[in-house]
Amino acid sequence: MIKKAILVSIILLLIYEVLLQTCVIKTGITQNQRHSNTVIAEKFILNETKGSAILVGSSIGARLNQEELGDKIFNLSLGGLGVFDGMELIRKLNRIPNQLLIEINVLKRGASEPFDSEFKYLEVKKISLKSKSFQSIYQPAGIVGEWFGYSVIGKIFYKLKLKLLSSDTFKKKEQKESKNQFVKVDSLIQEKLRKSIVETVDSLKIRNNILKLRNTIELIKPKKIIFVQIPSGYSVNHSLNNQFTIEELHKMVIKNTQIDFFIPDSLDLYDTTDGVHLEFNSAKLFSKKMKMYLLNSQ
Amino acid sequence: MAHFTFVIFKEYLYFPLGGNKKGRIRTYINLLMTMILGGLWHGAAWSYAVWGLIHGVALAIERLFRDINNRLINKILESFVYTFFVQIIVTLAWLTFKLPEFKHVLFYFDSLINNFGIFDNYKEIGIISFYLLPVVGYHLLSYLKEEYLFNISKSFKVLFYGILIFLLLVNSGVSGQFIYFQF
Repeated sequence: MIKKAILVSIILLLIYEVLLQTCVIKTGITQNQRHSNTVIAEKFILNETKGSAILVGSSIGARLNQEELGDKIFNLSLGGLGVFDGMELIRKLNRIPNQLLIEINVLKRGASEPFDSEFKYLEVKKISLKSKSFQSIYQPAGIVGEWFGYSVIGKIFYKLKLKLLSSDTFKKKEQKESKNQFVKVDSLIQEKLRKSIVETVDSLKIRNNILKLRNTIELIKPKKIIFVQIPSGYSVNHSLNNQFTIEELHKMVIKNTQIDFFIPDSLDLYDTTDGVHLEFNSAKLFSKKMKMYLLNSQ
Repeated sequence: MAHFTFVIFKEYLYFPLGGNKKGRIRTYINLLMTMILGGLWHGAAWSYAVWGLIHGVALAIERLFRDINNRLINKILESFVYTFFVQIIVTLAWLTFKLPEFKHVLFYFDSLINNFGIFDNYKEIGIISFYLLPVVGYHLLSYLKEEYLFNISKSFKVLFYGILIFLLLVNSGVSGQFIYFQF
């Protein structure tokens, strides 16, 4: 029975691969932040174009709008991770970018071991990624989930919502919730994020990370580095931690590499969803400005 | 691992406390004490003690109902409704394990009661429901097999296992850290 089951699985795998190669399939949803990071990293591995601009960063950079950034900037920002994870992947792949954009908002976050171990055997990974079936974005559960979850089950809940909308109890509950519930959840998130970014000023750690950053840049050898400050909440952008980081980065000198800074003049133009991450329209605006800056600086 | 730990607590805590040999009331207290201490064994935090308390109370109530030995109660205890009830209690109790602070657990329960805007997330609910289907299907199949001697044909089994192997190959995802490595 085991042999027959294995044979069935191989047949299914072949059918699935043919389907993915021949049909236009809407890519699936991701399971969690870690899965999303894997999808971005795999996309980067498959993206063979060399010499363009690459942005490395955290979830703050991940909010930037790809449509506005265009095809020539690859956004390798990884949620929950930092610049070192993206740079390590660039180094392993030996992709030398013309312009390496480095998000400076969360420099103190070191490289993640679990993420690194996922791409430990890069050559094996590259071979397996040649088959669409083994690419994380094409996981069957994600594709079927997007169709079945969104279109079928989701619609049932949507209809239920419309029915409930007409009831007075629902309206009252919803009004109460919009006043209280989001304030509670928001305060929890902001408290956690602000604590991790604003309150701790560890000069020794920042200097160590900048040293590590410099060593990694020297290994990648990009022609130009641009340190990018992505707008966050006022308290985050004006924190002592942030000011100290920028001062230290200005001292950096690397042989054969041009260093530049892209720091927004005014924060009034941008809004965040949680005091740290840009909301959709602000992310679009900043992405547009960054693209314009890159075009002008070339 | 968890099962092994429970055996240890049974052997070295529940039995020395008297187990079920010292009367009904003592049995309930012993169950409660064993589970609270079992919870605290995972870490010095109120969340773990509350996790143990919830399980202790649930076990004591179940024992109380079994001691009453009423035919109707016994029917309920053996029914699908009871399984469903236990599942909900156990799942909700896991919140005390998963969330970092006890106040977060309280916020979570508060949201469960008051969050009517949940229907705004109908897409997410749809996806979660979809991902739950295999678990529900597996348990339902197992239940039917036990209850009604439902025989699955060999060719269906081959297809079923074949699909499972296929999904393991293409849908394995990333591995999460084993929960007991945190203790």
